[in-house]
Amino acid sequence: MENKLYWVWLSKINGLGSVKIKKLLEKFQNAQGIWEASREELNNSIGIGSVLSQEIIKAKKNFLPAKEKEKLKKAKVKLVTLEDTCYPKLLKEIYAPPPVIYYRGALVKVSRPCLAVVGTRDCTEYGKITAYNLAKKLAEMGFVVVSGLARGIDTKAHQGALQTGMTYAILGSGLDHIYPPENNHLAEKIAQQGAVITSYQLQTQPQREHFPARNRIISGLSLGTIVIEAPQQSGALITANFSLRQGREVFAIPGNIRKRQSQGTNKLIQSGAKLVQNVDDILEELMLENYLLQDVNEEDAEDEIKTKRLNQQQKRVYNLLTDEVQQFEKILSNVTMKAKELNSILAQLEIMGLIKQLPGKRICLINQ
Amino acid sequence: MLAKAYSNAVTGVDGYLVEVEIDLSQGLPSFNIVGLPDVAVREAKERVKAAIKNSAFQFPVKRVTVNLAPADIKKKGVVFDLPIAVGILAAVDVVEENKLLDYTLVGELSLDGTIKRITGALSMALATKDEGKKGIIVPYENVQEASVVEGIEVIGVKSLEDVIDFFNQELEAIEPVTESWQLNGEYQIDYQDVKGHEEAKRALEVAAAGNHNLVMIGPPGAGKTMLARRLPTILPPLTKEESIEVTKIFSVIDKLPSEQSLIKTRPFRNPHHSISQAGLVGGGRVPQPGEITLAHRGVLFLDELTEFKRQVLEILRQPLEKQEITLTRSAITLTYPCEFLLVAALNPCPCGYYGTEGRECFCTPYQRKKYLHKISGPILDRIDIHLEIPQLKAEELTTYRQGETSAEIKERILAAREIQTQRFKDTSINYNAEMNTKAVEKYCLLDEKAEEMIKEAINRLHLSARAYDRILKLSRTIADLAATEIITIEHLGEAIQYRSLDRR
Repeated sequence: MENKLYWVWLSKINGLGSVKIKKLLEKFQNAQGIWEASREELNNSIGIGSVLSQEIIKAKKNFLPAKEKEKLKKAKVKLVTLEDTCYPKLLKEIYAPPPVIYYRGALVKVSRPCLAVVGTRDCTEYGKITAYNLAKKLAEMGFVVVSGLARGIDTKAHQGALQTGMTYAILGSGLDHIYPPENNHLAEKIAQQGAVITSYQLQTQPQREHFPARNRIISGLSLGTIVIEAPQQSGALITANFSLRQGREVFAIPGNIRKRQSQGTNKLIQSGAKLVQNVDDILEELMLENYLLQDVNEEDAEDEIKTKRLNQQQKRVYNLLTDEVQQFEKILSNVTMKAKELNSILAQLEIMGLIKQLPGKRICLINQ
Repeated sequence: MLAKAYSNAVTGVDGYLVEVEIDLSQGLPSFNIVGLPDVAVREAKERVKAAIKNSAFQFPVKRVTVNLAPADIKKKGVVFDLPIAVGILAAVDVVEENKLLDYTLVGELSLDGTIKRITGALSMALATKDEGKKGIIVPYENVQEASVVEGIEVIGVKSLEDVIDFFNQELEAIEPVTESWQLNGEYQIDYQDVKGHEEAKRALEVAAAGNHNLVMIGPPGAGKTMLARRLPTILPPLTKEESIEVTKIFSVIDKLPSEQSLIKTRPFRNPHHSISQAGLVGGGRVPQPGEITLAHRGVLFLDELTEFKRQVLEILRQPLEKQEITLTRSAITLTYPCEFLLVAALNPCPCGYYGTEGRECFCTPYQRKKYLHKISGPILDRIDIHLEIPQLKAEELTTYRQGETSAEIKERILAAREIQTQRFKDTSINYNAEMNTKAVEKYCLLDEKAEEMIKEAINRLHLSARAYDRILKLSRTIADLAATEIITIEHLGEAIQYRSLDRR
């Protein structure tokens, strides 16, 4: 069985959450170790009772690796496990990171810094505009904007980020159950320009209790969490809380004291969150200099490897392309080639896996 | 007293010879037409009687019997007015019969004896020639059209008297009008009118070169119709034979412009999507040609393909394959030619803006899928090129470079067609698009790198076996346009780009 599938199996066991898995991993090193462990060994592990060990043994019988693989392939879902090097670095650092994350789209390998932009679903126009503009600016600067694909602030944050850069949407359900449904299209776009991510396996319905766990991932992926708008009792505040516990920064946008939607954020500021009026307020706190510099170098090195096997013409076209989608005719107007030549070269680059063609004959680089 | 004259009739688009026999016998005066005449033919009696009288001749006070042979084919229309009238006059010795038998006569009479325009004159003239007659007498307004046929005399007449004078050698033989034959029909439009859309123009060039059917996918107002309309301008000019075929069809349904003898430009048919089955492929009790036949040797453009009734589209399958349509009705079975290039256009989704920059599309993935699924697989199967037509921004349009003229593009297409003619000269194939799997294997040779590339492409882009064949055919045409024998990655890469629906 493929290594990854052990992890899929592990994440599917009933009653086994991130924390318990972490404990098992400490004892058995990796998912395969747990699979191969006897009932007795499991029984003797910390935090695993006889009921749970029975559950684990039972899950082994019920797990059909070939079918599982097929299912993932069919749904075009990719996954990374704790063992993989491309598992997001920041997320790995938190306490009990999810053993498997499923995603659609592309995770940035050379980690660009992520920032979470979150807020209430029932937001004001002020909140919407702020979320949109802030996300847009952050994405433009190279941050990946992380949010939860919910209505309201989350949606606006994703939309803003899509304008200029990349964004991750974290779900509280399986990738085949996008919630809310009206964001289906948005999710699709995000998958093209970032990734839709979840720790839940396919066919998981969105459930109440999933969302705090999702919030943990949102904050865990990010260097900091920016709360745009939140009433007193809000999921966004939960995210902020996780952020603090994970040792990340918390930012908040001040709001009208007479508005319900600002009470939570204003309170955050009161208790020490950084008040944000513009992007500089955020940058100031993050001390990114080293981080970004290192990033660029890595990217350059990768680029070189990629372009090594390209011929002159392919390189010329490749260099014109960016992560941003561009229309064919626009690219054509920037080169001295004929349409047929450009078209042919684009096909060659696509087959090499370097670029992606989107409906409407729009082209962008694959960033992986 | 017996007399005979020859005339022509048309079934489908082809003419045939009809013998008009007239017998005058003693008895109570009467006038009968036999030989399966329809109402219009039967009514000829009254027109003939009045026309003869008003042309200062005498209508015989006899028992008149007219037989139209072959007697077992239904005759319809008004072209027999003239031969019947002249035949009767021959029976009473007003006209000399020996000269009469060298000619065929067609024409509708009006009561005062003038002769009116008819339909299908070209087909009739061709039949006249095939039957070895010396010439044809046609209404003056049809003389241009009929005189296209070489090797026979075409005499245009304005009245019954003219005809009598002609046969009695009182009328100077009318100079047959022979129009100088020009190969090139003039089009009012040109590809240079279209700004940008370089990819689309190139794809249309490939379509024209290899006779590949094509579908365009793009938002409303992107320019799909504009591009399609110009496709005839880059197709090779009609040959004389082709031109006659096309003219015959239009002549039969009376759609021929009166000042024009021959249709020299390739037809462009653009039926609305509310069209019925009969309208598209032809129909009626005696089937009339439909839009696909009118598009013969030209372009059939189906705009908003997804809006066409599904059944209507389905009947296109066989004609697309066989390039002719056989319509069977209880009375008659007719075969019409329909060798056309299919160009279809549709939106990418119900709202029309999926994938358009700066426009939000509100359709769900399911809606989009359903929308595209309205076109059945078998129809899509016969379309080689899928082309995305983006909406170009107005402010950017001005920055695009000047495109090529249709004439420049056409030159390359002619060369590519010549290569195909050479390649397929011993086979039943005419164009690259018609190649079957076996022919694809034989003629589409890839070089090593291209071989590797197509394998990689199948894996990465998840192409089906069907798409594989199509891509090879397209690469063949692209290589022909570049005048190379072996297909390289440049050609292959371009071909892969023309299969966008395979990837959705």
